[in-house]
Amino acid sequence: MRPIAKIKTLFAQSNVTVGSEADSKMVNDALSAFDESMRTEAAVVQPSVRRIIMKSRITKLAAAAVIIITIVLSIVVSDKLANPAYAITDLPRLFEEAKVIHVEGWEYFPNHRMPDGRKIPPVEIDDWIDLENGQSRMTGAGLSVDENSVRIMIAETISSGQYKLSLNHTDKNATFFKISDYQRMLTANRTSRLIRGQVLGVIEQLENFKKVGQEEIDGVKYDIWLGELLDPVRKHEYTHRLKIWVCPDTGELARTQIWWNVEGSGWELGADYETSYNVEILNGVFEMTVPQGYVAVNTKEQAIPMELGGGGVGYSDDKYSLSLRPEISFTMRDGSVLLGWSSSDSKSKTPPEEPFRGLEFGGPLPKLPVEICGLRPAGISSSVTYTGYHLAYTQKAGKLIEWSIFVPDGTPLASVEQFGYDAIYRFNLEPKPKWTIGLTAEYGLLIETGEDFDKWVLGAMAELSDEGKAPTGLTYERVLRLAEEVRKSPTQ
Amino acid sequence: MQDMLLLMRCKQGDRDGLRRIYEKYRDGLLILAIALSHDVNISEDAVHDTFVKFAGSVRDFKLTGSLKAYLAACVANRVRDLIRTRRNQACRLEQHRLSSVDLNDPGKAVICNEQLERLSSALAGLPHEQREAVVLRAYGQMRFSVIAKSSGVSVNTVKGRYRYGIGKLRSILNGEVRK
Repeated sequence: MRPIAKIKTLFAQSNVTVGSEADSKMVNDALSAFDESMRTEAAVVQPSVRRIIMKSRITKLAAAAVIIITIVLSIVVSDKLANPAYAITDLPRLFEEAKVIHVEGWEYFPNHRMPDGRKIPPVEIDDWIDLENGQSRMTGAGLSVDENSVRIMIAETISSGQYKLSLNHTDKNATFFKISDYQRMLTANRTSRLIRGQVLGVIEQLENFKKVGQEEIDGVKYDIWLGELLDPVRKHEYTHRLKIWVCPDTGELARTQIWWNVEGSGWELGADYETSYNVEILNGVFEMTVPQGYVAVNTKEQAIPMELGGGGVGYSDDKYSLSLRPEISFTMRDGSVLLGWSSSDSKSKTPPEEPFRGLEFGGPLPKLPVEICGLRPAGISSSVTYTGYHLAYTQKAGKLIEWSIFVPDGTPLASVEQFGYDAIYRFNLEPKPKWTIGLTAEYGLLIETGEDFDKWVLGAMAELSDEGKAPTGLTYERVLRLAEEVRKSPTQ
Repeated sequence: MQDMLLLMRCKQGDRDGLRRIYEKYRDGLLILAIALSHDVNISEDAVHDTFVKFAGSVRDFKLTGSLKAYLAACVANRVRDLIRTRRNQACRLEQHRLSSVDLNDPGKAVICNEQLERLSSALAGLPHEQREAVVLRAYGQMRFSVIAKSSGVSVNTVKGRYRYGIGKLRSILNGEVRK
């Protein structure tokens, strides 16, 4: 045999067995690096408005800045009146009343320099949110920096109707995504909730927020307010300043600046926005056409369906190839949590339907390879534990989704709305993998009525079903009753 | 699932997409690294570092050829760097024999089958540059021009290394047969 043929044969017959510890280290470190890179400000292909808002610290601060305006408005109004006109809980409503939000301005990169020491040129921002019709056009900007080069990355996502068009202005390509009606409704609701959530989150962070001057812009007098924010990630130092121009008579915002505390050089401008509300939407803002000179990754007809769930964790060794994924979660008005989740072992020879046989409403959960048997409030020490019970299951594209209710054994904490729930899990496998999972389920939408339940919970079940239908017999009252019975049971 | 689709999912922030790429290429890259380095520790580190680096930059990653060839080239480069570093640390490679892996400790490391040990032993008789050319060509199925670009040398140099490597392997493998 020729040496190269022999080498090829030996390669073909070669095999390695990777120990679980080595494997876990490799995959976990890779996933950590992946998560870290996704947390940075760069935005290349980002399919959802929510994701852009969440991933970009500057945009997050911009959203916060807009909300601070509302807070300032309340301060101003309170100054003028003997009795405050606004309760803090009214503030989200004030913001939500906007039908169109237009933010234009510049984002800067004060923390970095070009390799030759020059400042990095700013990126122009021109964001539109049409809350009334569920349309948006958002820009995300970020940097890829190494020793020899700085690459500015700019992406835009246009969402309208059934489609999202993601434009990568750096690589000049365009990708279409298709979203279902349910996902569209969910995105709109989540965006609104995100904005509301920011209100309460930022209030706690505000300190030394004071009026520092006045300025007249286009014949209107504005008060200038300055506030400092704790770093949203490190949370132990004031790394950002917000400077805002607010009309004391109307509460109207004219301008927002975000300043960064840059090590070695002090406060530098990070963003300068002008925000306006209920302006006329310009023609073509939400048009989904691939710009000339851009490569279309796909066409509208070939749009990639957006998946409902997000994230999930995986583990693989010589015995198992496990995945665990929370698909969607909701919180009921009594504090119980409804969670759609899936778990599989692609190396298992057991039919995936097997664990679901004989399950009953309100009974034990299916013995899936990794079983989310409970929840606990995330991000805070608490003795409250949520125990899981089976409600139903659905199947989509070969994947089985378990729908469970998790009932708390105490009074739910208010913090869950912000931080969500940590999953408590067990392996129904022998030997048990040496795998530690850090998995969080979102607070999700609040289900307060039967109508909410039908729209959101049964809607999600239908979305994650091949037939497009939720399992029969599930009602809001029945699920609430089950939670009540669980709470009254002696074991609880 | 095709690599392009998996990459697209990764770019959207889907961890499962990354995990699938990892699962798809992990073993092959480890075999490649072991064949190149004759050292499981270096191989484990090289594959680890390659995936971590890939995961950290996947969002900006532009696939212009085969993902397998790209990852193979990254592993080869990393193996080269690690060997150089450890040589500088006066750590003799011979001290890390494949057989030193504790077979009773499956949680610890990477275990090779007999064929891989034979392959690695045969290739260990070649200078690293020749070994790299042979392995990337034979296992990575990479074109000479791609290997040349990845190694930072000319195509003719790679072809020469490959030819000399094959010649030397012939005698090594013949000797193995005679034994």
